[in-house]
Amino acid sequence: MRRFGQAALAALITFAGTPALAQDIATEAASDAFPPVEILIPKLTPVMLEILSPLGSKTSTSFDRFQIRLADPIFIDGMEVLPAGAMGEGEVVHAKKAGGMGTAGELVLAARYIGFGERRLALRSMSLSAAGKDAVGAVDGLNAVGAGISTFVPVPIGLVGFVISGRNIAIPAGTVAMAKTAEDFTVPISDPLSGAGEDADKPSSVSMAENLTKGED
Amino acid sequence: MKRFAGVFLATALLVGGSTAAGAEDAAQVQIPAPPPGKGQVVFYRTGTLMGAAMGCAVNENGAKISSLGSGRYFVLVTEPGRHEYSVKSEAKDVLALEVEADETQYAMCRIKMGIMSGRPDLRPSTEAEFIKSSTDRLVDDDDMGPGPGALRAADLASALANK
Repeated sequence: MRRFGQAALAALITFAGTPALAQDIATEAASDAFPPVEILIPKLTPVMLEILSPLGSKTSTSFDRFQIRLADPIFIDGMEVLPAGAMGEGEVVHAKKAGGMGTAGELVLAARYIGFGERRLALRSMSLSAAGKDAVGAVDGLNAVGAGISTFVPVPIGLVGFVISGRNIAIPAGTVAMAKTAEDFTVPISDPLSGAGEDADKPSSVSMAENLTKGED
Repeated sequence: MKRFAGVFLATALLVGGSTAAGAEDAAQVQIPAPPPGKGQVVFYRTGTLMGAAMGCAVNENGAKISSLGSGRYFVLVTEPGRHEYSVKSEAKDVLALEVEADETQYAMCRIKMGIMSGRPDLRPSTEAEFIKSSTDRLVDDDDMGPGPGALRAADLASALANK
């Protein structure tokens, strides 16, 4: 109502022949209607990320960068502050191919950031590090048998283990992983009313985000 | 027959009792939270027969942090960020981890077969795997260092007391 009154007053003054004054009042009215609001995304807010490139202990190398995308919007106090689809980057911290003697492949990944305009929302604690299934036990068993047989056969049966490889790890594109925000991050909201409206349409996403937040220590 | 049943029951109770005690021991291994702003890595080695006599010395930047005997573990408190840990015998194995502030990560050492001697293999692990391994003996203080960060028995007890 106040907004309408100010706009009407501005229009009235324009007609009265003082356009500069009218413009000032209209600007003031607009800033009153949509005061700049900043929403804080607290440090350690859980985020769901989608990995966009295929990764693997066989194909990736340490320090490789890969693209990630925000899989679910970030909601704060029921308001969507960062939409799904925001792009970012992750890094291969460690990659090791599966090797002889049943050694499994290894892959350690880290989420680095999600872009927000010119800024970057730093990420941490990506829960997607793994070692493939090894075959060290099988090789050990084989060698135990081999030790007995090689008493009678002049062949180093223990060396057979060198050609038994553990399994590599493959992370297909589209894999979803969880991470956390690494710092407090403020996001300007130009129209908080519309944000609240979107939230009303997505109660399940909100409750999921809230539950994830509550689950953290 | 009755006597046989009695012996069987006693044996079953003994086995059951020892299993329960074993589970209790495993449950007693508690890892404290890292100090605020620091991260930590629990290095452990399962108690398998393969290479049992071999040590698995964990190094960073050329300095030994701690040895890992068969069935032992130690807790390394360190700065957040990327760290490279290595183990070496006739071959070297390196594991890089992203240590996060206020979080605990796990790494496991296994001895696999080599040509002349066993080869230690360091790989990322999880809390669930650590618990399942029933590794419950802390590395002796003498086997830790000179590299910094590994919690001695007294440090660990103190950290647990402040938990």
